[in-house]
Amino acid sequence: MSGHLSPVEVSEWLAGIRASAAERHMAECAGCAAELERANQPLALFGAATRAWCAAETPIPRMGAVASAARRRQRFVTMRVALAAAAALMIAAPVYLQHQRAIETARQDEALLEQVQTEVSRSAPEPMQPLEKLVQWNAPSGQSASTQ
Amino acid sequence: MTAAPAGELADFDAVVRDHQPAVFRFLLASLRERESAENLTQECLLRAYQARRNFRGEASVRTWLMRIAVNLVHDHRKSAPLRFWRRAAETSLDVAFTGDWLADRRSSPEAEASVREQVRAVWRATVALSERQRTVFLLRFVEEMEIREIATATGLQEGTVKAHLFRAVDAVRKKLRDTP
Repeated sequence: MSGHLSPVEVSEWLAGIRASAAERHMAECAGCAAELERANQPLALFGAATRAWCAAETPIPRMGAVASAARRRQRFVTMRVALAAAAALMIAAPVYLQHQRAIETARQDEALLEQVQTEVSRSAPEPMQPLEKLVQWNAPSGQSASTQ
Repeated sequence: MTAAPAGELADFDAVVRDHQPAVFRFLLASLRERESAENLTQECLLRAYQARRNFRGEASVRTWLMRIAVNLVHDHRKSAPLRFWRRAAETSLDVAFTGDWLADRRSSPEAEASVREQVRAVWRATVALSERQRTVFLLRFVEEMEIREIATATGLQEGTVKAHLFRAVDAVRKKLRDTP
């Protein structure tokens, strides 16, 4: 390193960027050490002033407050989950019941249709069924019965 | 099943007692608005409490808390851009730097005025920094954290921290040179 630390090198030093040449120079140059001290002073004062200001403003720590806040938040989360589940149930239940009713109606329609189908497929109306049976019963010898 | 919080975190009241001032200080210096700083301090400690079983002790409790605080500041800024800063940058000045701290120095009125002006100039200069620059600047010069700790607290590489810090320091020094 040929000369003294440049302003940029001073900023680098304060930021923790330290080239070995700069470190060697700083070890033997009182002028640069003093310059570094001057450069650091406003930053150190700023830090001290801010710490003092914040210390005056810091609220008194409340023991147990964090744990009780965590419990409150947990209860709040649980309540929200429960409310969401209740809301989902309120929406889902009517849909489910409506679906069940639709299935039941379809089943009843199917049964009715089957009944109608049965009625329609009969060769004679229900009140005449005994007569038809009688005819069927006589059928093997019916021919002779009808011819006799 | 999660393990019980180890070591320092087993007594969380002690964590609050020991670290709340530093968390609040960083948040107040970052936001310059007392109410937000207080609320975010509570939020920071609450998050730490809820996550205490996940703390592995790879960093100190303070650095771990600072990491949560840095994230909270970032989220807060996204929801409430620089208006707090710009407003509070001026209004908080007198409160900040005319307190007991200056009186305790027992210096002459001229020296006191000089100190006040230097501090005020740095305070103003930090307003113009980017969020990351300001964060590393405050962690370094207010919290007096090492580069390695700042890297852990911000989630940045050490080299990146140094680069941000260099830009911040250089910008502040340029402002100071321009201050009459």
